[in-house]
Amino acid sequence: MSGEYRTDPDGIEAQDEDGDTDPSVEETENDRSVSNEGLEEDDGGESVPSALGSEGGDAEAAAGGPLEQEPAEQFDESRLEVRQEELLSSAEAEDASRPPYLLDAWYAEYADPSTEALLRRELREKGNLDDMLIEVVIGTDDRVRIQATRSFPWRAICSLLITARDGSRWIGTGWLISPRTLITAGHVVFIHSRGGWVRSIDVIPGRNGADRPFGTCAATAFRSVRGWTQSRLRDFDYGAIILPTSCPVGGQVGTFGFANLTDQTLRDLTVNLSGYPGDKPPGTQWWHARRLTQVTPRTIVYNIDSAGGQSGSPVWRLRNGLRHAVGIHTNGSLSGNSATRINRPVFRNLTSWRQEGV
Amino acid sequence: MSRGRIEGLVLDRRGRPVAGCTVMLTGASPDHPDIAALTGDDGAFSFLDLEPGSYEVLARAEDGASEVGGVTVRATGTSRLELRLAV
Repeated sequence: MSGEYRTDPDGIEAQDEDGDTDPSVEETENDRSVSNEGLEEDDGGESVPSALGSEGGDAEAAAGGPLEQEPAEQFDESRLEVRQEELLSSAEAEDASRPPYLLDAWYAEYADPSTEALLRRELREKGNLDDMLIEVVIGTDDRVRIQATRSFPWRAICSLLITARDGSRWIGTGWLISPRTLITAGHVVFIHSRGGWVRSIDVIPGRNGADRPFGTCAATAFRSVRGWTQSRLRDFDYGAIILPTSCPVGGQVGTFGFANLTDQTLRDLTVNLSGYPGDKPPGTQWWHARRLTQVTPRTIVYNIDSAGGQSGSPVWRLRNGLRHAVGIHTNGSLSGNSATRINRPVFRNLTSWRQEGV
Repeated sequence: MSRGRIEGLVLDRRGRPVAGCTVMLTGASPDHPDIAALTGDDGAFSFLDLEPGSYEVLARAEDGASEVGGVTVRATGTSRLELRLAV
């Protein structure tokens, strides 16, 4: 074979705080295959039905119950129950203050101990993790404004103010997967037409208009992959922001899980998307949900309403109270908006970047 | 594929440049990254490396004033657009 695959397009590239690009890229396992064999399956967790989301109407309303949409799909509950029993038999699960379903869920979502502790505290205080009261404003389109940005998962979604290398300014969205790691679009951290790696990004978790409930972190360390930075291929449009050590905000607000799902699981899956669109009042977070309309080896397509500024938003599935991002929103289009799919190589890179921010 | 660009200005009703205005390509445009620009002090914005086609550009100021304009991008060259915000 020729040198066609000398460089892995999912090979990581880094830009760190000192402003120098690291030429010694970290090689991921060369994965030319986009086969869906042997993918990581999400765990599922205990069956905790959650009501489907949005309500109609124009009036501002205080809605009780979860907003996100949860797909009604078949899964192997016996496997889930077995896992619960295994946990219950362990010495740790005998701790009455540690709900077995929560322990199971977060271990499977690769959450760090600080996130787990955060959720346990909320469970004790609220009595039910799914009982999130969210005030919503129903506009004239299907998108719903998120007012409860101090609540999870909304607070783990961040408004991004980007300063490009050439000084131009942009807005985007990112989401936390570890205390100091956000995932976003590749074109948020590396803008080819603007000098490449951006100069800096202000990260504002759970922003709600002028309210910055968790402050602002200024980031100058970014990650992406060769397929984006060198080849500018849409299929490799994903990246990460590594926050400075002084800003482990993910430990305070919680983090998203993420999953590499099979084609079969993704097809017709209902997914949620929430981010910071530029066609709404500045710094307001908006949510929408729809079924996927197309699944390719590297992308997922949907008719979820989105607008400029939502680049980098998480596209996630909620099932039984567990959230796993399955895509990173990148593109708007008449033919359907799309995300970079979290397939095996993407999952591995997200895992690697997650470790950097632990 | 050759790619074009859009350059423009966001102005208020009196024709003065509007700084810090959010400008984006809408869903009525060809496939594009969903990142939005913020105008500089001179009210200027630009979108580079666009595939040829008909684009719709939306500008929204912090006070909610907005305007939408259409522009055709060709394979090369620059397409210009002036958006005068309406309340």
